[in-house]
Amino acid sequence: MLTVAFPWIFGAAVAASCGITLLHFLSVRTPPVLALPTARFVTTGNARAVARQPRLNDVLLLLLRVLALLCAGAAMSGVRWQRPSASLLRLVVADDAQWGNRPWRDSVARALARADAVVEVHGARGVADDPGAALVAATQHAARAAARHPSLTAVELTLLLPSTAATTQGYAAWRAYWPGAVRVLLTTAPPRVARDSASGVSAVGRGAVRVQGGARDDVVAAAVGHWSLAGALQEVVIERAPAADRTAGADNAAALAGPFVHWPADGMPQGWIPRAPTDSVGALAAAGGVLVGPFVRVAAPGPHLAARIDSGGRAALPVQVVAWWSDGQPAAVEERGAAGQRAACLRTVAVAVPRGSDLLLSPGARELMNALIAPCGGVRVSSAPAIAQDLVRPVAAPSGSAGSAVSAVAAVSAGDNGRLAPAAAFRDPQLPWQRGSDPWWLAPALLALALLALAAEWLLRDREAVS
Amino acid sequence: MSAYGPLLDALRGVRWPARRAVGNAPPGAHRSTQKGTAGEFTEYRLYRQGDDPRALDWRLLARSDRAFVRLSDDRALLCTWIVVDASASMAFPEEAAARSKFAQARLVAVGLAAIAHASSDPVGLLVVHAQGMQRVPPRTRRGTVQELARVLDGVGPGGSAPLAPLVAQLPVHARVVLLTDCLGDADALLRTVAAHTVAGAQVECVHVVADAELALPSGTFLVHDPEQPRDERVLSAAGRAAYRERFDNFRRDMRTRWRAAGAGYTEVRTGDDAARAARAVVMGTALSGAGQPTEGPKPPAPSSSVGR
Repeated sequence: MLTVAFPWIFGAAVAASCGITLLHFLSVRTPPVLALPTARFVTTGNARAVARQPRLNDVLLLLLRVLALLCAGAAMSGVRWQRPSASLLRLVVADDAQWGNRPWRDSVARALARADAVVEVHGARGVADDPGAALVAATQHAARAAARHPSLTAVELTLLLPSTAATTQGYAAWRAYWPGAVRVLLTTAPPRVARDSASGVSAVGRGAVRVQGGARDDVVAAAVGHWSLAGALQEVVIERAPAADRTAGADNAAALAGPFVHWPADGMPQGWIPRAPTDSVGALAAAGGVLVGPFVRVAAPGPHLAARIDSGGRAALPVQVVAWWSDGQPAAVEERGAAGQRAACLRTVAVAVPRGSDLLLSPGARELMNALIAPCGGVRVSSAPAIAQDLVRPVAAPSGSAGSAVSAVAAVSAGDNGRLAPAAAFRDPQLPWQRGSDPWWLAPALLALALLALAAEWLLRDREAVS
Repeated sequence: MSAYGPLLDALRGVRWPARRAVGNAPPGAHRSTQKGTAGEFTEYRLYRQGDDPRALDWRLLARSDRAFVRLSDDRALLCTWIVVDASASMAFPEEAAARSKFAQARLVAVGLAAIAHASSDPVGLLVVHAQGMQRVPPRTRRGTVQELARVLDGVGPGGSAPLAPLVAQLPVHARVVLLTDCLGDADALLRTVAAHTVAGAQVECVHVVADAELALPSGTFLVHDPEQPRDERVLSAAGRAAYRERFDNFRRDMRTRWRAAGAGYTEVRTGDDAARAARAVVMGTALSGAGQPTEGPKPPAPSSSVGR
């Protein structure tokens, strides 16, 4: 089937052809020539006479002119011969480390196969750190596919992202450049730091945020309710009891799939030491958000905890900072693999919030709360604003059989999930005559045909003038 | 000569007297401005010293005791130059070469040459055509007319060479007959002719007009002058009246100007009988229908009309 990349150019050629056809209803002819010696006595006038006729005149000339115009217009408008099945690109991008096995990709390609679609399944590195890497890879693959298949008109994108990531800023940045809807399948990824402790993260579905040990009017419990954080990806326990009572609480969190958060209402968590003298700080940063308020800093990481923080990922029991004071000092940390720890990870928070304060209800507190209840190892991806606006579905991790993930990809792609990205957005913005045709020889052949038609028209016109 | 046979037969016996007395020329048939001692007495003149005593009228001397000399008009030859315009415009109409203006001019030229030759006048020919000019000097010997006819038959019209420079080189004591359509260098030609007539030449203009120039074919045409092909104009039905009016004015103007220059003027159309046309030129009369520019072409009249 012949299609054109720039229909307006071909439309202009068709309009010009119609105009020429109308002009052929007007007969403009030069009268027969008569050699008259007394021609000087004839008054001067227009040597061409125009007359309308009910039928076309010079049909052969008209055909040649229309042929030349249409061929030139088709060549200039990027004509292409395409199969009807190559109009849609179904692109699936997944974390290379998590979904890198080829059988899984082949099964997804088979599940998405459609008569009018080109299916491509790719892996991308670094998606676990920042889902934006998946969008970058999707953009690159879409551009390559658009160049390889000039007949593509739309791109359907499905991303398989881990539910946690170190940051979502890359995704937020690249999401603005993707010109269509994105289907996001969130997988409960194994912990990135301590992969051997991922025994409990294979569950599919939502957990719960439970606040215990606090007063009835506890501000943290109020913030969890205010920010609708009760339904988390994994089960989360926030302990508000003092450090002396935390051990019992931790023991109660046996086989806890999510993090255990120790945020004592009074005092400081275990591993932290009193700050002397007490100072104040004006802001708290976590997960890309900033909470501004009159904080009183009463605790600082103890020597052992500070050493583990400073050693970064090289320590035997690494500690990851979850929240920072505005001067860069840690305000909350996440520990893994501590002795006697039964939960996936332990987060200790040294942020004192006065009783009755609405500080945690202010807009900047949402990121702090999300960072605290995020799955172990990173921020909770599903709560990132850039991702939340996309179609987000949970999917099982690739443990054992990957059939559920394949079916989920197929199910998401089968539905009407928003506007598809136009393939033209991934092509270079070239001028019409800089675009090639498909196949490449089609435009030169059409131009040659147009030139031949013009030459024939000229010869025919010249012959008529001579006769 | 077979083509010219009927013409020459029709013109047998026609003489072409000079319209004015001929100047100094060999003895011939035309009245001369010179006074001589020919047998035909004209007048007496008192004897002057140096006169030939043989011209004295002795009887009158005896009766009146005064010496008179007998004078008589001299007779002289009138050399006749026939100048034929063979420019491209004379080939009209091209599709009917036998009825073209040049064909008619050729017939009239041969007829006039025959008339002049019959008057014992030397007849010469000057043809101006695309390849230049062809000249036959004036002769009185037998076969001159046939020679002139052969020269004319061998010429094809073409080009746009001017006539005036060649006419200016002709002798002034001669009769010059111009057969032209007056569409070339008419202004220059008229100036030359005026000078010639003042000097004593007798000039006759035979204005050849094609019937097709008067009655144009119906329809719309893109017309152009064969001598100026780039000047193309549209001749439509609406413009025919204006064309005819302009052409009539031109012919009327030509007649007036030629006569004002001291020359004779006769309009001959391609449809006219050549013998009648030659006779009209000789007699100085207008052909019936010719010289009336507002009328269309008419078939040849059975006899010549009189009056100029």
